[in-house]
Amino acid sequence: MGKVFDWIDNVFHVKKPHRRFLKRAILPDGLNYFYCLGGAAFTSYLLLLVTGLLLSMYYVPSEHEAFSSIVKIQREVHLGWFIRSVHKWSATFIIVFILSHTLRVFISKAYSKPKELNWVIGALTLLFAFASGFTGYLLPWDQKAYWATEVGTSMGGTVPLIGKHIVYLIRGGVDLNGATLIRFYSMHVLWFPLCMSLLLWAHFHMIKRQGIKVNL
Amino acid sequence: MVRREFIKKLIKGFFILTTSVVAIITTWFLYPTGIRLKKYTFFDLMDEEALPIKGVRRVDYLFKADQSGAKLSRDMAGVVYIVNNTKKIFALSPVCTHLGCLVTYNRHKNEFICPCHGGRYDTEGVVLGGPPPEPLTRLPLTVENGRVFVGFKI
Ligand code: HEM
Ligand code: FES
Repeated sequence: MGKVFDWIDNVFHVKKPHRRFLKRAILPDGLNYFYCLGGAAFTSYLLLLVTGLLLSMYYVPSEHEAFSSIVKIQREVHLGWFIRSVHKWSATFIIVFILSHTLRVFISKAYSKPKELNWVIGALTLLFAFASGFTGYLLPWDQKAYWATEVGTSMGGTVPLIGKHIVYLIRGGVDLNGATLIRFYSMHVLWFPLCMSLLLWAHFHMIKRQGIKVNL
Repeated sequence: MVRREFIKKLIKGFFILTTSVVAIITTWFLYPTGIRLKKYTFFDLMDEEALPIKGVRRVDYLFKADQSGAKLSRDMAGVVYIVNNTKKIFALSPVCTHLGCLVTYNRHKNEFICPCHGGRYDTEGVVLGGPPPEPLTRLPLTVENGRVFVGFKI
């Protein structure tokens, strides 16, 4: 492992300039298990990423085939039910973990100067997690999915003046139909994971720079 | 130095311009096409005999696109409630005025109940409870030559 890495690093030269960064101890004294919540959220994210990429190999984002492809994943695909379950449970847990991680940050006042930006990045990540959950929920294209999304998108209509246009923009039309499904699929598997990966990179980068705040 | 400052400003301005143009193009690209106001269009729902003598009747409909005389681009299926309050016969749309779920008629309570957040309406469509801000929409209904026509917004 080390040899292969060194061979690559001969050309890449990433190790040396990053040594200070990679080797620095960032864990201060006085940590407790509540400081694992962010890591737990990240673990859920990795699970979502892996299972989501697998699901996307069988899932068909079309009005006529979406539901039957889900049934196929559930009944025919090897371990399909399992991969789908892991994706669903991780989607639930990531929200729980991010929220409790936020609570820990709030209680230990770790949002205060100079870490305001990381609080903002974290809050954005939470919003993207919500958005991923919302768009993913439509994908099975069954009654529950459809009506949940009907209700959810209709809420956009309550914004004064431009509400109607927000709803059209989200749905990709006046009504909720196949166009919405494709739109949600694209956001769910491309846009949001991309944005979240960038946000998480920024999040961890700042932690490495700024360390972890303990004093309660 | 003056020239350098000017070019810096120019580049900054160009950056802001490009970003705004990209933002506008993206939004415009994502904004759906073919949006027009929906108008009431009448469909032959059922025979006059099928009108309720008193109370609420649920009617399930399926209008085939190929039999609609080019009114529909795809089949349209759904539910409409025909109400006779002994003074007047009218049609109620089942679309909840809160956030768009479909209400169902509960015969025991004699109310329309929304499954999503528990909105309740009486048989006139008036809100009895829950979050709905407005009464159920009344759809235009006419009877011609023994057939009942109801206007649906399409
Ligand atoms: C990161 C990359 C991700 C990919 C590639 C991905 C991909 C997919 C695919 C293909 C489906 C449809 C299959 C199915 O419904 O079982 C799906 C469903 C779903 N996804 Fe994701 N997903 C990702 C992340 C997330 C995240 C971060 C969340 C939530 C926080 C999430 C929540 C959901 C939910 C709730 C469903 C519906 C599951 C169901 O009803 O079975 N996903 N996802
Ligand atoms: S959609 Fe009917 S009560 Fe909310």
